[in-house]
Amino acid sequence: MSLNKGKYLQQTLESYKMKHVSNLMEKYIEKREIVKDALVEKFKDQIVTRAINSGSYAKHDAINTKFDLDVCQPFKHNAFGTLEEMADTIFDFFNEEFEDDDLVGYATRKQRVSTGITFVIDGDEIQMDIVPGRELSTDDYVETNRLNLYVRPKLLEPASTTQTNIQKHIDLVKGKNSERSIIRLLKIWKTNKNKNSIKSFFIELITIKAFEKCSEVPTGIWEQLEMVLEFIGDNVRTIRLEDPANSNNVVSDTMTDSEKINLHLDIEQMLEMIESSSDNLKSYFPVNDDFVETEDDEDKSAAALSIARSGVIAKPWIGY
Amino acid sequence: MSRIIKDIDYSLKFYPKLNRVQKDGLVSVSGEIPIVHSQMGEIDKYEVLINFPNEFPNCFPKVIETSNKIPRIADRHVNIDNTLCLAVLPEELAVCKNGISFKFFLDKVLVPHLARETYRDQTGKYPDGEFGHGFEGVWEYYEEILSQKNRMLIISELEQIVYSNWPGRNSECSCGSGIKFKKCHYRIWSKIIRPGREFVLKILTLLKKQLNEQN
Repeated sequence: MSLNKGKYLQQTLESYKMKHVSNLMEKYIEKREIVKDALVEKFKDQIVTRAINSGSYAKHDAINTKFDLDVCQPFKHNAFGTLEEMADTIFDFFNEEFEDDDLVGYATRKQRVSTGITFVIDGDEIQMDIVPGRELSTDDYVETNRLNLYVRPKLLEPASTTQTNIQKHIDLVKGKNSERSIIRLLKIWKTNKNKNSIKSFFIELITIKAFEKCSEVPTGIWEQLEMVLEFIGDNVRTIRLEDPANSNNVVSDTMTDSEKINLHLDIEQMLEMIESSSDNLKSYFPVNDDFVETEDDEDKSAAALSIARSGVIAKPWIGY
Repeated sequence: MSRIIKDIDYSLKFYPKLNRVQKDGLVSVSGEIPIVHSQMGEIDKYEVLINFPNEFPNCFPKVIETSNKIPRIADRHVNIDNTLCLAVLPEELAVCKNGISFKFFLDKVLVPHLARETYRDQTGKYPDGEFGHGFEGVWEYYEEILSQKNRMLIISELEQIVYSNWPGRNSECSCGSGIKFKKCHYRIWSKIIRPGREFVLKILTLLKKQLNEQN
């Protein structure tokens, strides 16, 4: 019997829902609030508002095997002498603040636009990135949600600054339920196949673009995934994807040409393999075995019930 | 016998994994029965050995589930001789009164029964309940069909069914409902008497005896 692709993909999505890790999430959210409280206490005169949630959990397109509980701290326009000073001050503060914290797994890290802290609770690791940003001009944040970030240098790339708008990123996928399902499926594929060169933000933008460009969006989840995969396969090598919060941030440039060609080839192969046998879908979009719901069993019971009731005998008899 | 063999062979066209076996003049059928749902396809399968008593087609064939998926205990409707207990006796005889084809038995009795076992495996319970052990199950059958829990009244109604002259189809029902017999108790009484007056008399005698012993 051939695989019902739509039903299987729904089952896959269900198994990666955040609700399955709600106990763990509670602990992390508690930790995130401690981080926010610490920022308020330390920088109370310099911040515009309490840190806001960002990352996949805030966007509701997280998967329970890999997700971030990121926060962004907006600072006033006059806080710190420079953006670099802002970034380093935040790093120094957390480096010291969580130095002896039993739940911090590794040393606090300087990352490109954030300070990274890894919490380890009950053996599970979660990455929390704290992104400091500063208003573009005095009292501007409340109106525009725009922030300036410091971008640390990396090999062959000097330090720079960039603008972002976290609210705009969150709003990008807001209300787009179909797109979010496909984004989550692509994240499942990316995570399981270790496609680390593909940024989640890139997946979000190209999926949304595929839906926008499709004149007649199909209704089934498999049909929508196939449509997005075909769009990615056809366009990944040439498409320009800009951060909607900052047109100077060309998200498609986060991948090199050879990475784009590899992605094109991966997608082509994936579509061919699924075409040759729908069962191959399982290797690209595996269910999370830890939380797979026995929908098959439920279906089997329902089918058995309908066959049982098709007979002329309503009840069996225990004859002795 | 040749008529039964013809009937079996016709039925096996629809169940290609079942085979007819003939040994020492006795006919049996063995093999695999798939439990197939119209949309989901095959959801389960059972190996069976089916024997045909002399009374067939006026009774169910005897079925032994040979794949041992169903535990051989009374609570799973397996008799001491390992045959499946497919229905309470009055109901079986009511169904088989005019003879049944083997295909009807497979389609409408055995496959639904095995599907019930699959459901039981999946959920831990039978879908629409089950009749109790031995004679208790016969009582429950009549309780259900007559919508009557009072066993004295069940005996009384069975006596009425067996001994009395039934009202005319268009006459008022004897239950006092004021509606025509054909629209009231006629169908229920017909179902009860269907296995034959003699059978119902036998059952009635046994039920009365048991009730007296209990009292």
